[in-house]
Order: sequence, then C-alpha cells, then structure tokens
Amino acid sequence: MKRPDQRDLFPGALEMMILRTLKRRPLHGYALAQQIKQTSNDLLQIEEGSLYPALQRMLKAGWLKAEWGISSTNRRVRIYTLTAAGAKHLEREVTSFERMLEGITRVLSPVKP
Amino acid sequence: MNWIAQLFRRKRMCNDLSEEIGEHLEEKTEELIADGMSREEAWDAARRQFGDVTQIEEYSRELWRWPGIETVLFDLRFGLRMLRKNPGFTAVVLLTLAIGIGANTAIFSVVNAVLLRPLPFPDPSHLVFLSESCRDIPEMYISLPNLRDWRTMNTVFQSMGGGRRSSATLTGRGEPERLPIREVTAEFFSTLGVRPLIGRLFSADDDHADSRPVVVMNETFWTREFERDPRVLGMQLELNGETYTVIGVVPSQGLRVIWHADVDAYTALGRREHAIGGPGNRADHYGIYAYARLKPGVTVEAARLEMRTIAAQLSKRYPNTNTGQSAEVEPLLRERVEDVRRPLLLLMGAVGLVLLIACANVANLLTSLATVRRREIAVRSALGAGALRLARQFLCESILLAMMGGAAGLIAAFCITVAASETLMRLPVEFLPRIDEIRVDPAVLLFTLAVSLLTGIVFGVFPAVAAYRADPNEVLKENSRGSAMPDLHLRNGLVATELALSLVLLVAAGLMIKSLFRVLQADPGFRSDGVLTGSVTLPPLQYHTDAQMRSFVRQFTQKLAALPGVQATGLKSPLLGPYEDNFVVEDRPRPARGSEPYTEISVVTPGALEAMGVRLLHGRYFNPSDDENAPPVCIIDDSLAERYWAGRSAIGRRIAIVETPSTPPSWTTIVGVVHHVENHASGGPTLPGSYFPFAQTPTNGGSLVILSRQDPTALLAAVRSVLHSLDPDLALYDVAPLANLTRDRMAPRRLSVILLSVLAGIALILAAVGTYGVMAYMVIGRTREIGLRRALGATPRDVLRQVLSQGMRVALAGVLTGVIASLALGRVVSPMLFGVDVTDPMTFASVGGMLIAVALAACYFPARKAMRLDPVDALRCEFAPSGSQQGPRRIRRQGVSRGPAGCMKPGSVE
Repeated sequence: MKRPDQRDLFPGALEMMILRTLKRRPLHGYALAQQIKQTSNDLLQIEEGSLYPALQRMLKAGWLKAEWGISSTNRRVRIYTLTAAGAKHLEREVTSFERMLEGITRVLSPVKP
Repeated sequence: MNWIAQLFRRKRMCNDLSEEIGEHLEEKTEELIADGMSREEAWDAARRQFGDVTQIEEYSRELWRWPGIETVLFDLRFGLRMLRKNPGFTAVVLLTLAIGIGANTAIFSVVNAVLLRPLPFPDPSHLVFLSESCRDIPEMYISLPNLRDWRTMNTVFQSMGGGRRSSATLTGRGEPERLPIREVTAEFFSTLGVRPLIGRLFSADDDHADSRPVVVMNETFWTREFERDPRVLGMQLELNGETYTVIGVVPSQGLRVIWHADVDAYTALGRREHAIGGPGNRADHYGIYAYARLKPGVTVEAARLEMRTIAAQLSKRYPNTNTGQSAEVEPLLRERVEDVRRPLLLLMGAVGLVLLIACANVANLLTSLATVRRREIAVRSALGAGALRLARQFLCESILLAMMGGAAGLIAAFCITVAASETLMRLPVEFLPRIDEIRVDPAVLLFTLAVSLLTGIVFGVFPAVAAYRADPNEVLKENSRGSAMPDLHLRNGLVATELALSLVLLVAAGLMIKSLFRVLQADPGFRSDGVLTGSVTLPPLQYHTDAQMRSFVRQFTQKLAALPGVQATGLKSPLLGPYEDNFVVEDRPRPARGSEPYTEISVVTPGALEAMGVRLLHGRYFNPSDDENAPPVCIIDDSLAERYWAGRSAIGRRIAIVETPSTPPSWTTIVGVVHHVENHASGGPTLPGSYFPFAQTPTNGGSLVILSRQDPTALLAAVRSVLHSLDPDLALYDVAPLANLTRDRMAPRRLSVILLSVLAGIALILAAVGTYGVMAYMVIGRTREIGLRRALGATPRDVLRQVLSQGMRVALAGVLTGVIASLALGRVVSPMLFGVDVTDPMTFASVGGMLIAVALAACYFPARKAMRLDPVDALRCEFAPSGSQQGPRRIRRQGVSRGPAGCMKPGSVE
C-alpha cells in the first residue's frame, strides 16, 4: 500500500524543500505549500496534503517547531519554525545532495571527443 | 526520548493536525472563490488538490504512537476477546499449560532450594569439602595426623577445619539421652564463617589433648532443652560421664546442610588426640572430613592439584600408612548435595519433557483455531495487515495464554509444594538435604515467568508461521469445499513428537518401576519383620578396656535373651553398613599396598545373625565359646566365598583385616558362610561381607537386634529396664523396627518412582488428547473424500481401516523416534537402575505397545465417526462442524437446491 510520504520525488526531497523554505522565514502549512509551488515555478507538482505527514515527521525528529498564531489574513494557523537541529540537518542534506547531483551531472554530460 | 509524555501529547498532536488541515482547506477554498469559483466547486477542488485527509490523519496518528507498545496492547485486547469467545478452548489450553508450567515450577523450586541457592555462609563460593580417597573408595575419611599435615603444608587455603560425626550420652537431666554431636577442630567455625548466637566458639586453647572440656550448643538443642535461655553460658553438662562447660550457641541453619542433620552440640576434636590423633593413628580414618576456605583468586582446580601433590608427598613420607591414598577437593555445596543431584536433574528433565508435550498440544489447538480463523486472517491481510503484523498478533495471543497458564501453574505449584512438604519432611533428612528451604522465592518466580514466555513463543510460533505463509488470495478464493488442511503435516509432526517424548518418559518410569520391584523382590539376605533394633554406646571414660566392654555386652545380651518372648538377640556393629575395610587372604599373592580388596565388615555377638535371619549356608554361627581366649574366627558371606573358593569349601581357610600394611596379618579362621546381605546404602551393590565375634574384637557399643514373638515395640520398656539395671547412665537410642530402617533406605527410590510415574502418566494423557485432536481434525477435513470413497463402493470397514492406518503411521513414527531417543538418553538413568538393563526389551516393548494402544484408541473414535458418515451428506459438505452433523442435516431439510454453500464451517468470516 502506498503511503502519502512515498510521493516524494526522491526520499528526502520534500523535506529538504520544506527546510530550505522555512530557513528564510517561519510559515504556516498553506503558505508553505504555495511558496514551494511558486519557487519551483510549478515544476514540482506536489499534492498539498503530502506536506502534512512530512511536517509531522520533521516535528517528531525535532527539526521544526510549531506554534499556533494568527496569519496575515487573520486566520488561526500553525506556524512552523526551523530549529537549530533542523538547520544543521538541512546543511548536511544539501551538501550530500549537491555531491550526488554533481555525480549524476558528470555521468550524464556528453562524452568529450 | 520521553515516550510517556509523548503518549499523552499524541492526542493533542492529532487534534492540532485536524484543525490545521481544516484551516488549510478553508484558506484554499476562499482563494479559489476569489478566483471566481462557486463555493461548492472551490471546496471540491481544494479537497482534490489536497489528497486523502483520512489517510494523512491516520499516518500522523501512527507516527505519534508510542512505538510498538500500543499495537501490542491492542493485540492483547484482541487476544483476550478471542479467548473469551472460545471458553472451551481457553479452558483446555490453560489447564494443559497449568499442568506443564506448574510441574516445572514445583520441581524447580526444589532444584533451586537444594542445588542452586548458595549456602548461608559468608562468601560461600570459596568453601570446599576435603576428603581422602583411594582406588576403591572415592570419598574416604581423613586421618587426623594427615589433616594436620594438610593444614600446615598447603598454600591455597585461608583456613581449614575438620569435623567428625559422633554422639554423646547426656546424663544428669532425667532419662539418659543420646545426643548427636560433632567433634570439630578450633578452625571449623571460623572457616565456614559461623558466628555464635551467644557466647564464644572454640579457640586453640580448647582444642588439644589436655584442654578443659567445653561444649558449644546447637540452636535447636538450646531451644528444645533450655527455651533459648541465655543463662546457659557457663552451665555444666554431663556428656559421656565427663563435665563440660557451655561456652556458646551456634545457629543451626547452614550447619544443617553440612551435617545432613540437626546435631545437638559440638565438642573439640583435639581433646581426642590420644585416641585418634597421635602419630600411631595415621592409618585410622575416624570419620573426619575437612572444610576449607580458598584464598582469594585460587580455583578449586588449583587447590585440588596442590592437595594431590601434598597427598603424594605424604605417601612417600609414610609408605606404611599412606600408600595409594590421595586427596579430593570439591565445592562444598556441590559435594553436600551430590547424592540428590542426579535424581533431581532427572526429574527436572522429565517435567521439561511434560512441558514440551503440553506445548505441542497447545500448538495443535492453536493451529486448529487458526484454521478456523483462516478467512478472518485472509480478510485482514487483504485489508492491508502485513504478514509480520499478523504473526505478531498470533505470538501476542499465545504469550498471553502462556502467561495466564503460568499464573495458574504458579498457584498449582504453590499448592503442590505446600502439600508435598508434609510428605517430604517425613523423609530422613540425609535423603533430601535443605528440604526445609524449599519455597517460592524470586528466583522461582523469575523461572516461571521465563518458562511461560518461552512456552508462549514455542507454541505460538506454529500458528504464527502458518499465518505468515498463508496467501490471502488462495484462502479467499478457496470456498468451503477447498482442501483446507494445509498444516496436516505440521500437526502430524507435533503428534509424533508428543508420542516420542511420552515414550521417553514412560520408558524411564518403567525402568525405575522395574528397578524398584527388583529391589523389593531382591533377597536382602536378612529378615526385618518382627525385629526390633536400638543402639547403645559405651562412653570411653567408663568403658575404656576391652574387658569392660566385653563384660557389659555379655551380661546385657544374656539378660535380654532371657526376656519372655525373645527368640533370638544380639549386638551388631554397625547394624547395616557401609563400613568397609581392606582384607587379605592366606595363601594368596598379596596385592600391592593400598590396592587390597574391600569387605563390608561388622562385629556381632552370638545370636545377632540368627536374630536378623542371616541364613547360614555352611559351617556354623558364632557361639559364646568364640571368646578372647579362643582362636580368632570369622564368618564370611557367599559372595566372598564364591570369589576365592568357588566350588570348594571356604571353611577352615583364613583371612585377615589389614591394620596397616606393615603389621603382620592377624589371621582369622572362617567357621561359617552366610547369605550375602544387601544394605542398599548406596546406589550400587553391597561389597562382599564378613563378620567377626564381638568378644574377639570389642567396640564401644553397637545396635541391638531382637527377634521376638510378640509386638517388638512392646518389648521396649523391658529392654530399657535391663539396660539401666546394668548402667543407669546409658541411653538406648535410635529405637525402631528393622523394617522401618530398610523402608527408609528405600524411600528416595520410591519417591523418584512415584514422581516419575505421575509425570509419565500426565505425558500419556496429554499425548492421547493430542492424538485424538489431530485425528478428529483429519476426519473432519476429509469428510468429502470419505463420502466420495463410500459413493464409489468403499465399505464402512474400509473407511475405518483407512483412518486407523493413517493414525497408526503417525503413532509408529512417534514410537520409533521415542525408542531411539530413549536408547540415546539411556545413560542418564542407568546409574539409578537396579537389576534392570537400560535397554530392557520388556520395558520398551510394553511401553511401546501401551502407547500404540492409546493412540489406536485416540484414533478409533474419529474413525468410527468417519465410518458412520452418510456418503450423501459427506459429499455435500466438506466441513461438518466437529462433534455434530447438524450442517448436512439442515441442508437436507431445506432441499438440495441450497447446495453446499450453506454449509460453512463454524466461526469463519464470510
């Protein structure tokens, strides 16, 4: 049976995007979803719901903090903030992702004559 | 990680999430409305884009769950519900488990108390037991001069003390009383770490030949005689006609294990220096064993090595007395419980087998239940329950059952222990040391818990594996007609195992029973009916010359013989061995020093052998003229005569007891040959016996043997008054019919036989129930096939034969495996057998036959049911409810058109 969290592009991608987005500023769930869509130029289509299991997972891991607050549109929302552990995790993930990307790029780049 | 806090936080987390999702959807909806959608359209679109709310919430709930535990709690709740729904099943399983686990707990509580619990001394693992040894006697008393040398020569022990079994007559406090006492060296108590309850213990000053006589009381004696009055210190006690001063009292616990009895008092061994300690006494092994405490870091093995070296040095230094002698070192506790170790471990093994059989039975029952629940499980599996998840649930259920069974077993064991302790307490203490320490303690509780858990896992694995393997597609496709016995092989295997295990137990019990009968039937060589015995000891102070002892015993036995009703009487020392000594035979090559043969000797007055009914085969009994002035004579038994003079007369030949290898043998002439006496003191056969006349080798007392026409106990008062007319300060003790003594010696064997037989009986019943269960299951599963056979012309007889042969194949496999296992395990029981071979074909044949008969009976009832099946009904329905045929009948009434689909097995989920 497929679980919502398995709809990631690759394991950890969604989490990395969330962490990256929240690093800029704390957001609530809906705003977070919109932000990710926008910054990726709607390239990465994610089901909005799949955000929440990821958020729950990251809350449990201690990368995020969540607090009830009032949004700009005057709604009661839960605002997610990056924790120190979350920032550190993001750094690690980004480094390893870049290394992987570099490897893939090298393999995929046209063979020089 | 704070799991408990998380458990409480979880609910809040989930509520937060639901609220958050709700807000998200609303925000989205509003945005879409702002883009120009209608409210309904916007709401639908928002939800579509969001995904499955329920699934997300579900996932999050699982995420915040306290890992594992909640699933387990759920499984347990579900398991309890299943058990409540099947009360009959639950009752049978719990009863089976209660028997299995209860028996294990009961026996373990004995093993724990006797073999495992450390002795109640400080640092008990450092305590060792020391003895001498020689070729024929693995554990021999230590001579006092040797003990002294051991103590000064060794470098491995912190301290070493010796103790000797003895007794003393207490006078001056009413009727003279014989007290069991121990003579110990000054270091004895400090070596063990015993501290006095009041007063002080022996010092070096109390422990030499000229010391003032002082006595240390044992707690039991202090309580019995003085009601724990602390003013006993300094009090005077008359022991053996000597005045002793009480210096202290020691606790009896712990020391009871050392002596296998409660003694009354302790005196100093060193005061016996002249009698047994001098340099001339190196060859005398007067009942002393030694107890030592290892230095820190020294192993028993190292100590043994050093003591053997020392013994070898002593053999070289004193070749006359020490040749062929060595030293033995054993952990104290192990040595003290050595005799009961084997029977106890055998019993532990037997209850282990019973538990395995119980497990097999329960596994069978659970597998049946799992079969009935196949569809339920398939449905759950199709709905997404993983195979591991299902297997875990089965394990949870079985462990729950096992725990409940364990609790019931613990209660059963507690009742058994309480009930049995009454019986066990009546056993002579030396046959089951530490019996008073048996109780349910934390170790026993832990054992029961572990056994229950293990049991649950062992019998839970079978249905769990079956559930893991089952393919839900297959099960769901399979309608009620399908062949529904995928695990018949497994269950046949379980039944065969049960039968094999029962056979092992039954064979062991059978061999033990046969041994007991052999022992009871075996001619002990003497008669115990109508014979009264009692002991008299002559204190060395008043009776220190041979003439004094001789004259007392002569007068005493003459007066006793004159009592009305007395047919024969005499004095024998010891009453029944073991009391062994080396001997040599005249005109035969003398064996090397230290390797002379042993004989079981006793000293008797004329009339003693006659009173005990030891039959004369050749020559004559002793008569009063075989006295100190006559040539030395002896009587030997037929086993000794057979060994040296087979087919010829032994009368007139001469043998000699070896005093020390250097002294010339003092030959005694054989005047009679009597029947061999078997004393059953040890597991093995008794050594060849020889008898010497009291008048020629006086000792300081012995046991009276009185054969009378009237009730022997009625004689007692008369015997006492005769004794006191000769010496009012002598005590008559250990008074008992001879039959009691022989019965007591048989008690441990009888107890083992009873316990083993009960266990084997339980095993047999469990195996029969298991066989019946599987055969009944097989018949139900084959209803359709049987119907087909009947329809094709098979007679009911053919059906019966087919079912029986199926069962017999399983039974034979089990019996065969059991026979092989029994033969392999034979050496475990062989040391406990008497007159029976471990491969005794009679026992194997009768036990095997019995098991097959029981299995046949267990198969017969299901087979008869199969035979009586109406072929038409049987063809319609694969699964008739067990125990009744309501299903098919109901269908017939309702007409064929409903077809077999109406005939579901009970309990299945549609």
